[in-house]
Amino acid sequence: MTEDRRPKLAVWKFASCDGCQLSLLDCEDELLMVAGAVQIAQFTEATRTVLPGPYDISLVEGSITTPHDAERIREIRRSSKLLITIGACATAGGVQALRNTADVAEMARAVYPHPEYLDVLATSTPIADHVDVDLELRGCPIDKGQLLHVLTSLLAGRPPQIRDEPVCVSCKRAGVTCILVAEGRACLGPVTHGGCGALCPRYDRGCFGCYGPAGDANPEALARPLAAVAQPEQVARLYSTINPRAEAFERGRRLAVLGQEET
Amino acid sequence: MSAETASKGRAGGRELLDALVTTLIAKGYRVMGPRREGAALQLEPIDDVDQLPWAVVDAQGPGRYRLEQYEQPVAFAHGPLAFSMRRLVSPPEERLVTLRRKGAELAVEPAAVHARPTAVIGAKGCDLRALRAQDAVFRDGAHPDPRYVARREALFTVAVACHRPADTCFCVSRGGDVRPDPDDADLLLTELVSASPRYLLEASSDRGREVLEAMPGDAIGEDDRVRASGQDHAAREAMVRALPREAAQAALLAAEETEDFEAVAERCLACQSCTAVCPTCFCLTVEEEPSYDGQASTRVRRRDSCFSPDFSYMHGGAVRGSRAGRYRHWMRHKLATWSGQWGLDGCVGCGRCTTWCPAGIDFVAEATRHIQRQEET
Ligand code: SF4
Ligand code: SF4
Ligand code: SF4
Repeated sequence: MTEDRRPKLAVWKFASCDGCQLSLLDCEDELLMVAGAVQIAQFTEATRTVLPGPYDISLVEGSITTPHDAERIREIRRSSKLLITIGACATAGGVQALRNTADVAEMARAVYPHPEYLDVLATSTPIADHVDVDLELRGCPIDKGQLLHVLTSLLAGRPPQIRDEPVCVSCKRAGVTCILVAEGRACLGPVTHGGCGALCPRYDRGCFGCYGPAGDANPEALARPLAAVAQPEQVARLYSTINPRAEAFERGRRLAVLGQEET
Repeated sequence: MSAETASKGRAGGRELLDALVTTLIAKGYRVMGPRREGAALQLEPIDDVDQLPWAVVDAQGPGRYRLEQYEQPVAFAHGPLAFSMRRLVSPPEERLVTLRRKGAELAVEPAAVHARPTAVIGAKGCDLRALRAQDAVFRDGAHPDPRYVARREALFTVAVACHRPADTCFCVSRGGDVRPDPDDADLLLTELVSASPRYLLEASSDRGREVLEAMPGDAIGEDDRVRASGQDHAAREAMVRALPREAAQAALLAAEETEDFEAVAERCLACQSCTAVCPTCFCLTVEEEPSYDGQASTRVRRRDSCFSPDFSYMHGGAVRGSRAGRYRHWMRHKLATWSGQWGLDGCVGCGRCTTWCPAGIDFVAEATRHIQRQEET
């Protein structure tokens, strides 16, 4: 048998809902084409086959919530040439990062009859807090088009072009009328990393911030426009829906709450 | 009817608009006009004048846009539409070419140009002047872009004189006018406002004359002209905003330091909305999209913006790393440096950047601050 020279692709799961991995499966026809160009070395959602490292590309879903996972991600980093995090959990700690400001032991007692069996960290943290990350793909879940673009670009030996631009750019490209300006409804689009193609505004909903803060996010500048159209609790909730512990979103949430105290 | 009569124009009631739409459709044009789309007026395909925004107006202000009922049953009382005609000639995204591996060869497959003959009814003077800016960049230079040129030639414009400028409009101070320059359009429409509005239609190009000749209607009378000029005058008077060209240019040329823009940058979201709605902005980027089977790559052209940190990225970093630096570039380019580059004005005074700024940053007020500062020194 001749040696398989195709690049090895591994998909790893940490604390998450599997939705991002499913986006990869959801690629169906395109995935078959990509699958032909790689060896799937590890992808529990799709196959039981597990090939040993090193891996050319590791896709990592989920956040770090246990001491065991904190060790496991280091192991994966050591055996991966390129490590790409996918989704809000892996890039910002996910919605489970809400616990970072709560009493975890207290919650465990409330939920589990035998909390002593649990071995968890007090926080849910992004992968980049633990190891070096080569590329982050945002979203909850990620956009399959972006994922395919990354994989096909890497296979072609060229850098992926993932633009760091806010959702407003996608609205304007799609010819969508601005919800904040024309309807006076709350939208996180101006501070949120694009990639979804303005999915919510296209369906007449304000942006929930699934992709986390854009690189240049300025929540301080959005505080006043949001306060003009929504209650402070509503704004705070919006910022803590999907990426509650992303730094810029935390600032946005704090500003909303502070604004309320001032009035 | 003789060309002589046609050149004198047509006058009539709402049926004149009906005839215009029917004639344009019969001549093979896709007709587009202002139309209510959700919460705003957009440039949309129409095939019936009933689809025009009758008795609807827009209230525009910094970061605010609302549709309201208008007291007169007219169709063109609104201000600039949410998006300008720029989308028609320079789409936000388009495929340019696909390179495909065919054995040892590389096949080059240019993307077809879709230049559907399109007639825009109700083109405003500001947007028509903005097309001059687009023409300067994509058509009239040493390297015309064939895709742009094809779409531009396929564009037929029926300009309309504005009788009710939006609160955000300041075209007159930018050298424009409520009455569009006839040279910028094929036909020029005047809506004389009353409980039963009257329409005047005049041709200013050969294509325009051909359309007019195929249309019924009365001759334009002297009293029509008097009413039209009275209406123009009142509209000019109603335009309270101004950003004088020379003063703005001098002040912005002097505002060289990034620090001069730090205060506004604190309020700026760098969301790029202003550049996306501005009818004169033209920046594009080209990206590659490899095919899933790795055998081809498609080159796509997308709209870009100087507000993006990636826009000025060169090896190792962005040239304009701060938001203040980017705001400075945008405002100085629009108001000061554009004319040296293209011999035209970068800002036609449509006010869209102000209306559609989610942070409500008022472009005129910000520029005026620089003018005042210069006057003080
Ligand atoms: S709807 Fe939201 S994302 Fe879209 S342009 Fe408006 S503020 Fe930006
Ligand atoms: S700078 Fe603003 S007012 Fe001037 S043309 Fe552009 S969008 Fe219109
Ligand atoms: S629209 Fe307003 S907030 Fe957005 S980049 Fe332009 S000036 Fe800044």
